Amino acid sequence: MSTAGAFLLAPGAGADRHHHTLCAVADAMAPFPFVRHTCGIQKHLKAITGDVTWLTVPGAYDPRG
Amino acid sequence: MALGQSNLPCEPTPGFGGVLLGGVVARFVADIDEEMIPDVKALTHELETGRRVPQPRLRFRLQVDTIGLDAVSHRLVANGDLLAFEFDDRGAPEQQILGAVYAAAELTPSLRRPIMTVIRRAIAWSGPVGPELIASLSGFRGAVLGSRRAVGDPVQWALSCLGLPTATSAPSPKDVQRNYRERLREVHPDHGAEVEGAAQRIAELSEARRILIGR
Repeated sequence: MSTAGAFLLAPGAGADRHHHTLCAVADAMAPFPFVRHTCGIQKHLKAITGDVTWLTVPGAYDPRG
Repeated sequence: MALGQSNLPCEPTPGFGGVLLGGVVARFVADIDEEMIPDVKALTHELETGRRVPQPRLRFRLQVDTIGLDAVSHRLVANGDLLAFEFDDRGAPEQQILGAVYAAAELTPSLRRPIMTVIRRAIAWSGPVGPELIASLSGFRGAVLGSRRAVGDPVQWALSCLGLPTATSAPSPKDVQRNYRERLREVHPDHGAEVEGAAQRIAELSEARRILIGR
């Protein structure tokens, strides 16, 4: 767990009213690996061990028709 | 399509990054036209050797410009020691396959070859996309499932599994064999251990021994 991740998930930091803020901060920090605050308020903590992103045309053309 | 930001730790190979790219390919390969599979394999070989590849491939063109494009992200996450994929299903399956292959091509030359091998293994995968796939892509044999510790650092996992000091990077084959036998006695039902889960524990010990002394 990174220091930033530990800070975000400090006891008491996951109160309901802060949930979306924590998720937004966590998303903004991607793609660095850290423990992410997800749905369920401290019940389901996930460490992102790897991620990959590519970009496509919105409503991408599907060659299969 | 274009490549975006990635975090793909691939050492020791295949690492979490290689497993993620292989997982994406295994997830979407069944959704593309079977006739395209030889072209995907050919593309992995072309990119592996650093050759310039003609565009488009699988009917999609790789570009550098990202303005106006939507991001599609895939993740490999750990819940405790259990690894799991989080796929983003937006976009055509051909794009997903191409994204994984082109992302592998961005790796350093020394990593590119083993990760392309992992991708070709994923192309041939026909089972469920879950722990068995993670173990297979990581090179584990038998009934060993890919855990975060095992995929992240197989040698440390093997040392810990056999109760050897984790500060030792190269234990003697004699020590490995001795600890293997001791641990085997502890987990074998013939010596009083629980039957449930015994096969998995024995498989893990055998795999740990293979990692450390190659047998």
